[in-house]
Amino acid sequence: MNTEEPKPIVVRNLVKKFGDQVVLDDLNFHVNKGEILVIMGGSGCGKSTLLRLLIGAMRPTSGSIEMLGTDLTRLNEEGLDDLRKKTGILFQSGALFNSMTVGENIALPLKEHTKLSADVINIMVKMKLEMVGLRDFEHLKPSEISGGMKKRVGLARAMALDPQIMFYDEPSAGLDPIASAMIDELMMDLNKKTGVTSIVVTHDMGSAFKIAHRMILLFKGRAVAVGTPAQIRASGDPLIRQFINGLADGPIPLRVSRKDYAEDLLEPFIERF
Amino acid sequence: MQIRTEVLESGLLGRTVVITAEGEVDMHESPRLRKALADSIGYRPAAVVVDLAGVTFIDSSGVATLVEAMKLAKAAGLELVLSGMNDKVRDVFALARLDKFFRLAATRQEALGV
Repeated sequence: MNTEEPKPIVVRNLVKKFGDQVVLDDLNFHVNKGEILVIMGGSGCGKSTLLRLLIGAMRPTSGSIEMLGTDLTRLNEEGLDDLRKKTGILFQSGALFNSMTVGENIALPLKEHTKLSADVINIMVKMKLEMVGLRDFEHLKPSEISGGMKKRVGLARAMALDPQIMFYDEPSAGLDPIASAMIDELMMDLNKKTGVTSIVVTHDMGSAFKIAHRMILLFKGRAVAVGTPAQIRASGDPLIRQFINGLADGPIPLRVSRKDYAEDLLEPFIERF
Repeated sequence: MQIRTEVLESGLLGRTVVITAEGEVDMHESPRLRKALADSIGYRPAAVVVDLAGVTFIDSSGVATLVEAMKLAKAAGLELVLSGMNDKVRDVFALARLDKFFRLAATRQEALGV
C-alpha cells in the first residue's frame, strides 16, 4: 500500500437521491494505491448504491468520483468502457455464463477487449486459474462446480485483464465458512502479489476485520467511521460498537419506518372524517 | 514498446537471434512481441535471446506470449533465453509461478555466453 502515490479513487461530496430519499449524503473518502478498503454497513445503508456509482452503473445526484485520474461522473459510455477495462468486479453471484466452460468464461473479456491470439488467451486462462488454485477445472461447466469454486472462477475472470482496481460485492455471501475463508485468503493474496487496489463491500464483520487495511462504516448514507481495523475495534462510539458486535439494542433502530405508528394506523380514519 | 531484432551468426550458442524489447509490454503491445518471436523462431536459429533489460512493465499477456514462444522454441528444438529483467518484471513471472519455467540470464552478455 502506498499513501504517497496518486490515489486511484477519490470520492468528493457524493450525493445520491432517489426522489426525495437521500441514499448517500455528502460522502467523502479516498483509497490509497494497493490498499484494501472495506465498506461496511447494514442493509439499506447505501453501500450497494455506492458500489453501483463506483463502477459507473449509476450516476450520482451530485459530487465527483475520481478514478485513476478521471472523474467518472463526467464520462460518456465510451469513456466508462475504457475505464471499466482497468477495473474488475467480483459479483455476489459470480455471474458466470452457465452455457460456457470455466475456461471460456475467463477467456471472454480477453476475446472481447483485446486482439490477443487464441493460443496466448489459452495460456492466460491457465495462468488465471492457477492464480485461484483451479487449473484442472478449465473444461467444466459452472453447474459442475461448487458455489465457492464459482466465486473463485468469477475472481479469475475479473482479474483476466490485469485490473488496477478490483471491486468485490459481498464476496462471502452464500458461502460456507471454509469457502468464505478461502475467498478472503485469495483477496489478500492477490492484493499482496499484484498490488491491485481493492474495494470490498460487505456486512460480514469477520471477513472485514481480517482483510481490511482501512474500513468505512456507512449509516444512513453517511460515513460514520473511517479507520484501520484496530481503530474501529477500539472505538467507543455506541453506533460502531452496536454494528461490529451485531447487537439489536443501540442507536441503529430496529424499526425503520419513517411514519409514526399511531399516525399510520389512524391515517385512513383521519382521511375519512 | 520498441522492438529490435538482430541476428548474430557466430555466437557461442550458434546462430542466435536477439530480440530487444523496451518499454511496456501490455495487452495492447504484446501481439507485436508475439510476431517478433514467431518470426525469429521461423529463422530456425540455434537460439533466441529476448533481452528485457529495457522493459519497464509487463502484464500477464506479455508473460503468456513468452510462454507460447517457449513452447514453439521447444517444438523447434532451439534454446530460448530471457535476459536482463528487472526486479519488477521478475516479480510478474514469480506471481505466475513461471520464473522457473524459463532459462533466465542476468544480462544479454551472459545469455550469449560472452
